Amino acid sequence: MIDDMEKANREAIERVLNSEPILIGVELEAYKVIPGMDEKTLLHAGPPITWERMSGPLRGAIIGAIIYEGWASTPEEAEKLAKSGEIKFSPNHEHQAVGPMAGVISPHMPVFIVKNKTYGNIAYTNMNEGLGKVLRYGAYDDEVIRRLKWMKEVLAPTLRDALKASKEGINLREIISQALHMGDECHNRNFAGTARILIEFTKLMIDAGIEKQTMRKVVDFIDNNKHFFLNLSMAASKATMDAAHNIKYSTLVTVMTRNGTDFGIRVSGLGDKWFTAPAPVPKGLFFPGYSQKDANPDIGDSSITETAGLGGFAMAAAPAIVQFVGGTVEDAIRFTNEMKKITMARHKHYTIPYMNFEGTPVGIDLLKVIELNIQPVINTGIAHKKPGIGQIGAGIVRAPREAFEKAFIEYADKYGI
Amino acid sequence: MSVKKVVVKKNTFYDSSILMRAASEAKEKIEGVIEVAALMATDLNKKFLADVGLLIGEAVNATPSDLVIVAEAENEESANKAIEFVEKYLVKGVETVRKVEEVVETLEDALEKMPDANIVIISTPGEYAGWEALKALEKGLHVLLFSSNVELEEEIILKKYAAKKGLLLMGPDAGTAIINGVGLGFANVVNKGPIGLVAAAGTGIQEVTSIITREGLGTTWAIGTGSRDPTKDVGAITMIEGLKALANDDETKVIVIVSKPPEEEIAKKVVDVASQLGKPVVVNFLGASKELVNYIESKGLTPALTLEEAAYKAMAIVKGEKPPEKIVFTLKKDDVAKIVEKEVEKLAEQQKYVRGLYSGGTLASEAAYILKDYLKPLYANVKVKGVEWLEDPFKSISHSIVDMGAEEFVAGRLHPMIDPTLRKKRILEEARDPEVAVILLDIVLGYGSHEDPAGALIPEITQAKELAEREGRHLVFIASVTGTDKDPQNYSTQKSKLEKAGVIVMPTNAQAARLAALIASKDKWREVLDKMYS
Amino acid sequence: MVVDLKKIKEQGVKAINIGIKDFYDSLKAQNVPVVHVMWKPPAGGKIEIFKRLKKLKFKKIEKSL
Repeated sequence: MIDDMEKANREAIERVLNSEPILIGVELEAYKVIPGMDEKTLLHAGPPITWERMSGPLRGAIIGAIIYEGWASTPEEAEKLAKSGEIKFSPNHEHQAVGPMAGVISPHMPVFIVKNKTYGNIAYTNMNEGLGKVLRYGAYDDEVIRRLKWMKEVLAPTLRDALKASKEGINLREIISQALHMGDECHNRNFAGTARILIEFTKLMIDAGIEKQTMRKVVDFIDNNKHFFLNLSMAASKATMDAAHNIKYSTLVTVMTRNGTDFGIRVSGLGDKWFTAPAPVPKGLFFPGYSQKDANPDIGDSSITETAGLGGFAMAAAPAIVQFVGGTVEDAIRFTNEMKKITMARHKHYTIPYMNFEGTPVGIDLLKVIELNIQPVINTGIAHKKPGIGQIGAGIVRAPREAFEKAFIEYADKYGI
Repeated sequence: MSVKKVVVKKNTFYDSSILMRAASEAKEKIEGVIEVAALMATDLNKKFLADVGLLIGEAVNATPSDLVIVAEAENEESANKAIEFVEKYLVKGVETVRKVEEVVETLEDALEKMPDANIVIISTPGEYAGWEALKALEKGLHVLLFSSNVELEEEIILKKYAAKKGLLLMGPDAGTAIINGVGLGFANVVNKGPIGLVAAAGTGIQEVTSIITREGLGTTWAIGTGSRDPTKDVGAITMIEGLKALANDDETKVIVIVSKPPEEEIAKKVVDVASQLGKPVVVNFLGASKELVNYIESKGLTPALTLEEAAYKAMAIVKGEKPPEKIVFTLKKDDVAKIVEKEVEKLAEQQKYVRGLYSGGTLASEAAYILKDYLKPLYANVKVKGVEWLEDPFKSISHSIVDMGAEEFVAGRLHPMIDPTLRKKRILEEARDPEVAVILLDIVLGYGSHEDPAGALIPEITQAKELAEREGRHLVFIASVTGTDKDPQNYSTQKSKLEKAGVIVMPTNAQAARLAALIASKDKWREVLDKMYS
Repeated sequence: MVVDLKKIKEQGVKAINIGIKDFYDSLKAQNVPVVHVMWKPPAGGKIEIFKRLKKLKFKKIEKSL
């Protein structure tokens, strides 16, 4: 059996490196395309969780989504419904989907469709609302709901039509490769990725003959949100890692995610089982008026980017945000170098100019995490623990060892060691 | 009275982490400095300064876009230096100033630092040692596994794997090796030369290679196998692979095998392989049966009964001479007789026992093996056929040979080759025993050993002699020094230190043991001496 | 495969020391290139986890023999 492990890992990492995620389309009604999602399902970030155990930001986002869907008209009603058990909560990751922070996707929200050109599998993600008071940080007031409606009615159809004008969609692997050379790490910094995707969309909107006023609004919306590309970076990562999931004997970590209460991982050779530990509270720099004590435990599917060799693993690509890791470029390089020790390969498409175009460390090996006791580093936004306040800072967090230990024990049991 | 200095740089921005680092380094590196601060003059930061009494001069009116550097020192010069240091630090930037020493915590880290490394020395606790060794082999590195307590199952896998990959896996429990002239673990600085060793005995390697160097020849390689290698379970894998490697090595003209006698099946297996190498092989299975010796001879190999004999026979073969039948003393028989006569005369009536206090396990075995023919009853805490088992190694009885490197002695403390404390105490204990005539010692030099092993014992030796003298006895000290003049402790220096303290220093451990046997034979010594030569 | 001593001769001894620091010092004194590892128990010192990890690795190698 065990000689199969290396073979399995070789195959798994090969699939990661060969994956070519392409943004192929937009669907206005999530439930119509997302597998296993019905009209009473709300998808969320992280491993599975019940309403009772959800943290503030996730509860807020659930309330907001219920109001958005029109299942309730007040937050109180929405909360009652959420508690009632009538609505099914399910992790994005169990439906080929990802979403940042609370990551809530409701049946009638629009989603991006990303296809792994090499292996044919699909990943879905919602659209980024921007900064400030937004659903993904648990805000649900009128402004939030209005923006979501606009995104559904204007943004999403426009981008859908634009994408229809393209032959092959937009190659996300190319954009990520370029963004890394332009100072993004594609998790906490998405300036370049957003600029690049905006250029692609603009060209396609022109080709599609989108009306000028609409186009202007769409361009402004994307331009004003420097994290617009984050969701696409995540979906590209998801499409990549899914292609390497479920390979017998493989110790490749294919998912790392958090729901604000628990942190969870999945491992290629261990099927769809979750291995969880309490989500740690991120350490970082805070906006004026907020401090560590306001921080919610870590939340969001966005750590799929680290799983795919971006984010904290590509820290050295993003000198502009090194304050989060100690202040110097050298510190950033140290993080990237440290991650090399627990990964299976250097990425052949994602490279870091500052490190002589070395590939980013990619493919977390469960066994190396266990042996070396090095916990994967994750770049992260910090949510206020009360719903509706939003982002209060950014920083880094280490994936908790306990989740990896549980997975290792399962692996050892399953494969008879 | 302290001096305070302040400098404000208008509209100059630096990140706080750099400023903090600059200030802390200035405080650390410049003498006479009491406090240094470097920060942007925000209200909060100014409050910090006020709290420590450093919101002074221009700093009072500085704005958040101004950089403030303040120093408090015992004198003006130091304060100025501190400010200057911070200014320079900021101009140079972090990269050039701060050199981060990379932490090497794993084999992988080490390989990153030295990608062309070819050997790993492992001395972690036993339960981890096999794991580290396996990783090293996977990466194509040779291994000296010093640790003991590695599981047998692991040892077998490691050795088979190493053999498959063409790598040396020396150990577990291998204290010594000489690789391309470099001593690993406990090893002497020896000449390069035509004799190669494969040995399951650490101090055995040291004794043989040291004798060879002192006689002007040298060693190519000494491959330690670990004590468990020549057993049925392990099947002498390392020994056999070592022999094959030496057979292929052009510079090795003669091969020496040193080991306690393996189980018969394994002994024969090793001898059979050795007889196919196409090179002369000297085999020293310490304490081998007559039958085994005959078997060695029947295969065209040269048996040797002691370590010194192995060394001398190998050297004779190299020189194209006929190997000596056996070695008794390298001194003239008459000279030995003179020494013995002189000492025996001085012994008191009740003095009769030899007590050997050893730091080297193989040397202790060799001594017991030699003494057993002359002194009875002989006890030891090393297993030698014909020698009684010394139940409590902390207490000598009759004639005793004590290996003070045995587990009971090293639990929770360093090996006696490094830490002489227990041996010093034991010398005095033996001296108080009125029946003791001779105390027999080994002094092992080389890297890894105590920096002055002879010097460390001399106060107790002197004290012991005086103590006996006061009680009307004459205590004889006999020692041998395992080492060379190139060793950091220097063979000649160690030897003359011992002689000055009244210790009789013999050229080898075997001869030291024989001399002890002669002296303890007292009035029968002439008979015994003749028997040795017969 | 027979150990190739000639290759070691050509390369010279280049050592990594894991464990007792004295062995590093004595190699340094002999002017041998050597790196010392500030060793700590693997698997964060969790012995039960480590044992299984070790077993896994040894089993793998054993299979390949």
